[in-house]
Amino acid sequence: MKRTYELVVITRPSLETGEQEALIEKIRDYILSTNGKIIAEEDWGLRKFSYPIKKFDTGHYRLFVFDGKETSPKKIEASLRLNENILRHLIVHREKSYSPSPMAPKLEELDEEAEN
Amino acid sequence: MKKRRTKPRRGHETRRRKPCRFCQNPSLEIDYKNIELLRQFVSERGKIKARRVTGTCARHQRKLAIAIKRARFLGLLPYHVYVYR
Repeated sequence: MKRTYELVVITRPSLETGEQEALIEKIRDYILSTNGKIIAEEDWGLRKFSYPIKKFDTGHYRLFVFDGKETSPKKIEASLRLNENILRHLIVHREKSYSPSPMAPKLEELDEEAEN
Repeated sequence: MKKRRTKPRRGHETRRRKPCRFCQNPSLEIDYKNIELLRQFVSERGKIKARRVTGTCARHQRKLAIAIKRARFLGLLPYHVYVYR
């Protein structure tokens, strides 16, 4: 059965732009390798965490909305877990059709931090 | 003989229950990504506010709690906030 899922991936803040892109491409491959279909992608940018995650205070957030089978999340998760550049991930089943999320990169917050 | 109270004690009047915001406005979606909305249902200390405080119905409170917990897992909301005195 086909289902729609959402995947949020938080990657290390210290990655170079090139490395970051390569990692995102890899994640796309993970999804596609399970015969999934990517419906949407959102880049939330570098965000500050509410509490440290793996000793980091910030991370790059990326959202993927995809169609897959009910066995896909398990397979994708297995691959995500092996990658050290992924600090955290979350896959949830989406009931409603895709509409853009209210998340926008919080640039002001980061600027404030840079000043301090 | 003691006089029986006919009216409720002062300050003990039956208060009308606040309507559930999500039942009132069905277009308002409970989602872990909408942290601005979730923040309104979390105390200063980061704790989930009780139903009796916010007036949320049982069904939506369940959904809210799940959404808040997901947001916490992703570092979007805190698990706890220390308030210094």
